[in-house]
Amino acid sequence: MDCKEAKEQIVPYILGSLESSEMLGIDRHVAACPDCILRLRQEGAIVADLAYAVPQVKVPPGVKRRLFARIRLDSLDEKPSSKIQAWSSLLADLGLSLAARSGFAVTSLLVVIMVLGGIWFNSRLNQIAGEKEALAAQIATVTDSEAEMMERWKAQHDLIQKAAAPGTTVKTLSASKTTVSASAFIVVEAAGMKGTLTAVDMPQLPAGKVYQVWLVKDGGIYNAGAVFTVDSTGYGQADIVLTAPLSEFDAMIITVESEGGSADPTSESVLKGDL
Amino acid sequence: MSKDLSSDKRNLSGDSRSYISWEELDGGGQAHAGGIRDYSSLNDQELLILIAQHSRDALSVLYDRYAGAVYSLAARKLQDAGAAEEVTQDTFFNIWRRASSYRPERGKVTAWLFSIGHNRIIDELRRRRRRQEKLVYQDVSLLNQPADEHGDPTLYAAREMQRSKIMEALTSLRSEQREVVLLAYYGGLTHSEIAHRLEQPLGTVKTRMRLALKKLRDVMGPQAHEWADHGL
Repeated sequence: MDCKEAKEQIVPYILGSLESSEMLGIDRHVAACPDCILRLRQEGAIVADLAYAVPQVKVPPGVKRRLFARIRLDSLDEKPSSKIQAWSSLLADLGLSLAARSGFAVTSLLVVIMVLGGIWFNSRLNQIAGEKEALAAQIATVTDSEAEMMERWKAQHDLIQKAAAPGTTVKTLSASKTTVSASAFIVVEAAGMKGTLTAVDMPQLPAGKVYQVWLVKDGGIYNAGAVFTVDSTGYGQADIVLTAPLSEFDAMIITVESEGGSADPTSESVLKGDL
Repeated sequence: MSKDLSSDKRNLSGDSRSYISWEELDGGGQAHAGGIRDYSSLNDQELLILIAQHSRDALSVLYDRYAGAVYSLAARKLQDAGAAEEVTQDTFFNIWRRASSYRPERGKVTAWLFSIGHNRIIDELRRRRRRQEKLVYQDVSLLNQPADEHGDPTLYAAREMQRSKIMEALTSLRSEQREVVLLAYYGGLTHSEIAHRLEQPLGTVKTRMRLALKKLRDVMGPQAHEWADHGL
């Protein structure tokens, strides 16, 4: 790739709109071209700012804990293998040097003992590494659960405060089928344009599916612009921002849809409630 | 120079303040040797030097600065909180492993960091698109939703100011220029896919992208670089 081609491709490159093979070509060229490095630097700063154009939302605390648990596991992965390599190399070196100096039978026996010992030792080290991994995974799971509980408690606390504010209304949704114990409630702020939906005991979703919220008015069904998933206990929450006050709608329903949401409901409602 | 980052053993959660010895910083020895310094006062590049030396505290501070932006971008583009969490974790795990490959001459830490996150999001978007056609952003108003007001109010206010400036810059673009930026950056489409979708020659799409970025740079000016420098 020459400089002219690279310059044409740099903007699509930093916007992420090249195919992987094209990106590699740019990478190779830029590594050796001061002009293109300068161009990359200028355009890259602007594109980095585009990340802030989306509404900023809070990262669930479990993500950071899982990241650091993964880093700890990664460190554990590296250490045992280097120890095993060191011991294997030591045993091999020792066996070979003895064989050179002693009788063949005696040294062969020693080599066999050392090899077997090395195998046992390696296997024990692997076992210990496995136990460490399992332990670290358990710790990560416990800290995740703890973080989820804290997060849920904080969400509930915030919700109670919102619900206590003057003018706030609370509407409930119940399961469409009696076989399902799920329920939900929505806390609607005074102006009626914004609410927080909390669902409990919801059925677990199949992979690639989400719950989607809909509003019903005069027989028509409107997308409320909110999708959510639930945790292992069936708990989920979603913020809903409306273009018209909630009081103008007759009912709210929740259906199961594909990830990303659907333009129209494609399944029967799981929950429904009059507004 | 001391390589003993024993202080890293503390404060892995990153919730409270972390301290390091000045001597632990590459090129940062200056006249403070033996003293301690707040990690959060370090700039992004200094943090990355420490991350390359396996400082978890430094990663924790960098994470606190930018994880929200990476997560928000992923959540908005993928419309899936679980996938956004994975993308955020993968991005910072990659930063942990690849910190030593960062080249300052190629751009700021934020540009490098967001390119890692953005590429990971695009991979996920393209993987999903292979399975099923998904909605892609063509309308700037889709990005104009209220932000989460939880967390540090100062940081929230700064982010909102920054967001408003970027939205203003995006709005100032001609519609055909804005369209290609939104489809590429937020929709994860390749330039060939954009050309196909808009029924325009590939060269026209590239020209629109180039003009769009030039206009964004003119509108946002040096302020954008200030933000990137200070980790806002």
